[in-house]
Amino acid sequence: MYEGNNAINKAYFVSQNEDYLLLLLSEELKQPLIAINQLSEINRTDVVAQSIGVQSKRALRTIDNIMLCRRIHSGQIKLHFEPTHIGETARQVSITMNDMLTQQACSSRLILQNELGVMNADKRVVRAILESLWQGLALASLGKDQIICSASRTKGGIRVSLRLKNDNLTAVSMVLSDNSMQPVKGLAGPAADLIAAKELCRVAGLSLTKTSRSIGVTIPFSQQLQLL
Amino acid sequence: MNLPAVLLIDSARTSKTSFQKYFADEYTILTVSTADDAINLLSDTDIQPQCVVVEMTLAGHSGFEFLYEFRSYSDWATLPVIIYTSIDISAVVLESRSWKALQVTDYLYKPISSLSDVRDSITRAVSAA
Repeated sequence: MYEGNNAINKAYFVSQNEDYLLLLLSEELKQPLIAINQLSEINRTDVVAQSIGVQSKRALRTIDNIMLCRRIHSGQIKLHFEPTHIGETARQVSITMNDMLTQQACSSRLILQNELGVMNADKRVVRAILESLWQGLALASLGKDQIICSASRTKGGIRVSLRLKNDNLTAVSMVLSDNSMQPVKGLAGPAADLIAAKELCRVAGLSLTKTSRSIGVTIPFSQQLQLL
Repeated sequence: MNLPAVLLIDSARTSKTSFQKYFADEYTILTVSTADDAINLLSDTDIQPQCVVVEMTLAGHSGFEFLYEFRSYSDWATLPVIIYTSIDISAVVLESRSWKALQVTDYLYKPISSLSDVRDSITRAVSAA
C-alpha cells in the first residue's frame, strides 16, 4: 500500500515537473517569436521579414495549441462550454490562415451548410483543433493546392472537415499512423499540428476522423445543450 | 512637437525597441522594465502618460501586483491600462469580479495581437479618457 502511494506520488511529481518544464520551454520559445512578429510588422515592405513573420505566427499558434492540450490534460484548465457558432468559428479560423496559405501558394474554399446553428461547445478548443488541422494540411500539401473546409450537420453532430483538392492526404496519413516517434523528413511541421489536433480532440472527448479524402472533427449533439 | 506619452512596462528589450520604432511618429514611448521602476517613475517625476501598457510577466513584482498597487492611488485610479502580454489569461479570469475591479481597459494576447492592434487599443483608450 505504502509502495503504491509512493509510486503515485512519484508519478505525480514527475508529471508536475514535466508540465512545469513544458510551460517554461513554451514561454522561452514564445518570446523570440513575438519579437520576430513585431519586427516583421515594423518592416512591412521587407518580403523576407514578412515571410519569417508568417512562420513565427504559425509556430506561436502551434505552441499555444499544444499547451492548451497539455493544460486540459493535466486539469489546470477545464473545458468551458459556451454558445458557439461552429460555422462562424470555421470562417474565422480560415481568415486567420490566409497569410500562411498565401505563403504556401495555397488557396482556400469554405463550404458551410446553411443554418448550422449554435451549439454549446468550448469555443477555444474547437478553434484550436481547426487551426491545427488547417496548419497541418497547409504544411503537408506541396503547395499550389486548395484546402477545402466544409461544415455540415450530420446525424450525430456538426462535422467540420478539411481536404486538399489535388492530394489524397498521403502525407497526413503517414503522420497520423506513424508511431515510430521519429520526425519524418519534411513532415515534422505538419506532424506537430496534426498530433496537436488529435490530442486536443482526445482531451475534449471528441474524435478526429479521417477518410481517404478528408480529415475532420465532429462536435456531437449528445454532449451539447442545444440552444437554438 | 509634444507627442502624447505612453508608458510601457516590459522586461523584454525587443518589445521596448519595437514600441519605440513603431510608435515613433505618434507617441512618446517611455519604457521601464519592472513594476517598481514604473511606480517610481510616475511618483518621482512630473511625467503623466496618457496610457500605460503592461506585460504581466515582469521581473520582481508581477503585472498583477503592479495593477493592484497602481489602482490603489487616487491619481491613477482611472488612467487607462492596457495589458499586452504573453500570458494567456482565461475567459473565466477576464470575466471575474476581481479582474473587473482592476479596470483594465483592454487585454491583448501578444502571440495573436499585432502592434497595429495595440495602436487601435491605445487610440480608443486615449480618446475615451
